[in-house]
Amino acid sequence: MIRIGVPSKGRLMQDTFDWFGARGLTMRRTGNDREYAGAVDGIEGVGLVLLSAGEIPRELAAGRIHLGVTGSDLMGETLGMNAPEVQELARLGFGHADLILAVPNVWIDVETVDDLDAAAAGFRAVHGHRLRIATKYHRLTRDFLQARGGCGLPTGRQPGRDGRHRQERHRRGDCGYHLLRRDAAGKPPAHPFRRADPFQRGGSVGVPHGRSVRR
Amino acid sequence: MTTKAAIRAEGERLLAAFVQAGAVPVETDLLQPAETLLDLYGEDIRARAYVTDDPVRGEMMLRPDFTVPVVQAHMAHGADPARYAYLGEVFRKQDRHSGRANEYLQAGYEVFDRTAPEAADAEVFALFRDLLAGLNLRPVTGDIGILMAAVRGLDTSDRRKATLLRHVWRPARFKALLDRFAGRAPVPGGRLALLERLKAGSPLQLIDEAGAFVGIRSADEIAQRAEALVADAETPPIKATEAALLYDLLSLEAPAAHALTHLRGITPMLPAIAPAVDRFATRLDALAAKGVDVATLAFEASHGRTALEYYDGFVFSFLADGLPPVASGGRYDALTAVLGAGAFIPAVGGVIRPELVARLKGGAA
Repeated sequence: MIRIGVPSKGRLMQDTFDWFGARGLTMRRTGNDREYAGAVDGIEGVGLVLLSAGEIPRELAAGRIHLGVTGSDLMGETLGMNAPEVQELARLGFGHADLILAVPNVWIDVETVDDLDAAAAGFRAVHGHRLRIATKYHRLTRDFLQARGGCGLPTGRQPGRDGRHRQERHRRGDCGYHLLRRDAAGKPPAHPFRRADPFQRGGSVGVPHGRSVRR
Repeated sequence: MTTKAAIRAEGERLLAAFVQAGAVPVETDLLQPAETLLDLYGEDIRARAYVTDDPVRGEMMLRPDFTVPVVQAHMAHGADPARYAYLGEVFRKQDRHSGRANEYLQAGYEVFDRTAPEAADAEVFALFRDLLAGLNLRPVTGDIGILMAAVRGLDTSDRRKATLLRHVWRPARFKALLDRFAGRAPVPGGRLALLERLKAGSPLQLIDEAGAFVGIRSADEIAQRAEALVADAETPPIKATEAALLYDLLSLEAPAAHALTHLRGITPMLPAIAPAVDRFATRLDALAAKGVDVATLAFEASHGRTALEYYDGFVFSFLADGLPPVASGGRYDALTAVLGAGAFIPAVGGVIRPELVARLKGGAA
């Protein structure tokens, strides 16, 4: 039995079902909404496992599922880039998201990671503690900043679990490195933060885009 | 495979040797307060410490190193002078597939002595050399103090010097900043656009126009940095001759005695390093007195720049190919002041990893 793990909820689950459906495999949930059970029709010997998208990378690496659908951001965060146990099979073309380093609009003096570093040093001198970046992507954030020469910032020692939590952190003077989902028109949502380097100049972001399937 | 028992036995041997050399054995807690201490280690360890939350004690971490808690204990109630030895596990997160241990033993020796710091440097180095004899290790030395003195002596603004000093431990960023401050690299496009924007109005007005105010970084702080940025843009570049000396210093790698001759040669052009070079010379004499051949001892001015950020003077490592440093250490005078609440004592120390020693001995047998 080949076990395939797919996101258990919402839009990602439906997009995944549609993607496989267009290729002749019908995936469906079985039982009631609270049970994470599913089935695949149109192929023999394949079992469906419904999981949180965040659990899928680890389940793949551990060998408890054989194929999985999840975000490349979650792959990079959980397993690191180019993890040897897994291999990308196909980009599915949905669930696009950019990871951005966001700073408050009112920080008129911050444009690049260099500026952020200097602002953080000044912040620490005045407030007696380090500026914190709110994120649930510790590894990606650290890699991003280290690739830019190191920033001397601690990353998300208390990860932002949801938007409200992140907003709370921002109010306490921090900046964020988080997932910005585009809306249907491809526009990021309005908020009182803006992207810091290098996103404004359209450079490579150094973090994965989009969602993909890996084995 | 080297067994835990063999590693522990090697650690006990090293600890006994440290005690024999005059050290008092000390223990520290496995759980250390993270909020205050984690800051002192630098980016690498900060990212790799296991931090957990205690509802009463706040953020705590599994001991990532001994030096900081040992210094803390010494500054609180230590004798003067003092020598300490310890043996115990440290904990660090590692990348998957790095092959590096998440927990391993460290055997360490720390000297707090204000009479002759350079002699203490030589004492620690020579003790480690003796304990590691026969393992065919490659010793490398450096001196963060010379680099810091050179930066402090630059003819440029205090702000630029402070920025360079903050990044001594991040060689890539340090180099990029020096390139920019010396006019060797162009000002990045983002910064030029930013300067244009800042010149368009008073900072407070620009902040006001930027929309809803969020965060505890105050408008005054933002405005001050904006003004400093504009002032910095007017700062003349570091003179080419001075910058060239600093580049030369950063890349200096030579046998220690030869490095001293070279440093003496550039001191008239970079007079700020004179006291640090004098200390370097005194240290070489002290090392020679301990039987170290300074004519062949490797010196690299940038050695230790990716290590612990509390080192601010002599640094050393004992290296084997394909392994993490088997032993490393250095001087951390400023750390004692940070943890000493006004008190200060020159201090130097280092650690040996018993696991690696045992492995090398096992391979040799």
